[in-house]
Amino acid sequence: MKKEIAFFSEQGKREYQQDYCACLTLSFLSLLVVADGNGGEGGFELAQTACKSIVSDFAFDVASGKLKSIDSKDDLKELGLNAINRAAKAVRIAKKRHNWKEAGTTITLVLFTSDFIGTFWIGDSPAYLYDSDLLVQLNHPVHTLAEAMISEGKSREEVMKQPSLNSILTRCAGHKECTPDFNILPLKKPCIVIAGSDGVFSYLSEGEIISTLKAKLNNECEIEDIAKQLVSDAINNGSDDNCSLVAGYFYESAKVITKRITRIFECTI
Amino acid sequence: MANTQFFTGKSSGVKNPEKPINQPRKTQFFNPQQERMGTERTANILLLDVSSSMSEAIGNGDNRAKIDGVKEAASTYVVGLPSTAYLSVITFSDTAEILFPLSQLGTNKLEVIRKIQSIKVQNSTNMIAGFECAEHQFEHVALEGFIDRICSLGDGMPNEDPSPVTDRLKASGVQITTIGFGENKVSLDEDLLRRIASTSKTGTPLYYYIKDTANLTGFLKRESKTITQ
Repeated sequence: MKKEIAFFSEQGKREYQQDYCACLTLSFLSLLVVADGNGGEGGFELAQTACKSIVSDFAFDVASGKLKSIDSKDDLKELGLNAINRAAKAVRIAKKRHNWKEAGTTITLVLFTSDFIGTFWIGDSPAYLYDSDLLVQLNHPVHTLAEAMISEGKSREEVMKQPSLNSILTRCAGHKECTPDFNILPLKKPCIVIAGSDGVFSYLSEGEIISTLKAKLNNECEIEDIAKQLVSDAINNGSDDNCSLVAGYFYESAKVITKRITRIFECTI
Repeated sequence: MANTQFFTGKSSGVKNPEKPINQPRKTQFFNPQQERMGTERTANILLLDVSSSMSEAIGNGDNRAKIDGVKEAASTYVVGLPSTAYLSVITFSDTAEILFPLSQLGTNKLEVIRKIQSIKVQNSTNMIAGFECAEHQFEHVALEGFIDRICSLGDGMPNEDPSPVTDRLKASGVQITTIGFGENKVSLDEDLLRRIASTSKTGTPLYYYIKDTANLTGFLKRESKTITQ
C-alpha cells in the first residue's frame, strides 16, 4: 500500500493555538493523530503531550522490535486502545504535575494497516473516510453533550435548538471520564482519510468536504493542498477556532511519500 | 451515552483558550476592577424562571422558546466556571426547586448542565419562593468570607412582589442581579426587576434587559469569567 500524508494547522482567530497534530508512516502501519486542547492554561501542552506520547510510543515499539506487524483486526484494536489510553495517562500526569486544573484535550487517532483502518477517539475531533464518492464519519458519535442526549432518546431537532451543546464535551483526556471509543473498518483503496479539530469540521458542509477530496482522487491536486484547502475553507466560512487537519491518501501504486506542511509546529516524525 | 460524568467547554463561544505558559504574556496594567474580581470569593446562585410564559418564543427572528435560550445560556455559564466555584441552581414556578445545592462544582459540571437541560416549564411565577429558597441556601451553607450573589433570570412578571425577601437579602449583603429576557419587553415588569436588584457602586441597579440568546449567553459567559476562585 502506498500513502501520502500531510497536515496543516492555523491558529485562526483565536488568541492562542491549542491544537496539535502529528503523523507517522511505517512500512506496515501509518497513523494520524489530532488533539484539540481546551480549558485554558495548559490546553496546548496537553494536546502536544497526547500526540507526542502516541507517536513516540509507536516509534519506540517499532525501533525496539516490540512491534513488528499487525496481523488481525483484534491486534489493531488492542494496539489503538493501548496507544490512546497511554496518551490519556500521559496527559493526566502532565496535568497533575503542572496543576492545570481545568485543562484537557481531545484525542483522535487513526491507524492504517494494509487491510484495516482503525479509529480511536476521546472527545469531538472528527475523522472522515472518503471513498468512491462516499464520505463516512469514522468516529460517530463524538463525545459531546448533544450526541449524548440524542443517544439517550432526545430528538436531534430538539437538541439542536441549543447549538452550544455541540461544544460541551462529555469525555476528554485529562479528566475523569476519558474512556475511548473505537471503530475498525476494512480499508478500500484508493481512499482519503482526514482528521481534524472541530474548528475545521464545524464550519464545513459535507458537500464542501467532498468536492475538495474529489479533486485529489481525480489527481487534480496534492494531498497537502487538501489539508490547506479545507482549513482555509473553514476559516473563510467563519471558524473562530484553531483549525488543524491531517489528511492521508492511500492507494496502490507509486512511491511512498510523506509530506508535511505546518506553520505552527515542529516536525514530530 | 451512558456514564457521561464529565465535561469541558469547547469551541465557539464556549471554549476558554488562555495563553499557553510557553508564550510571553502581554503587559498587564493594573485594573482595580480586575483586581477585585481576582481576589473576591463568591457563592453564586442561578435563579431560573420556569413559568409557563417561558415556553413562548424568544422573538427577534428566533422561534425557540425562551426556556431553550435560558437553558443554553445557563449551560454556557456553568461551562465557564472554574471547578473551584461555588454554585447553586434553583428554578421557580409554583414552587422553587433546587437543581443543584450550593456547593463547590468540582467534577459535577456535567451533572449540573444535565439538570439544567432537563428543566421543563411549569405554571405560575412564584418569584418569592425562588428568592426564599436562595436565602435558605445561603443560611444553610454559610461560607465565611464569601460574597453571596444571586442572578435571577426570567421574563419578569411575578405573581407577587418579592421585595420583602429581596430587601432582606440585600440588607444581609447578598448581591442580586436581575435579567429580563425576550423580545417582548411589554411582558416584563422592569420597574420591579430594577427595584429588587442591588445597585452598583455608581448607583445604577444591576438589572439588565436582554432580548436574544446570543447576548444572554455572552452576558452569562462574561459573568462566569469574573468568578476566579
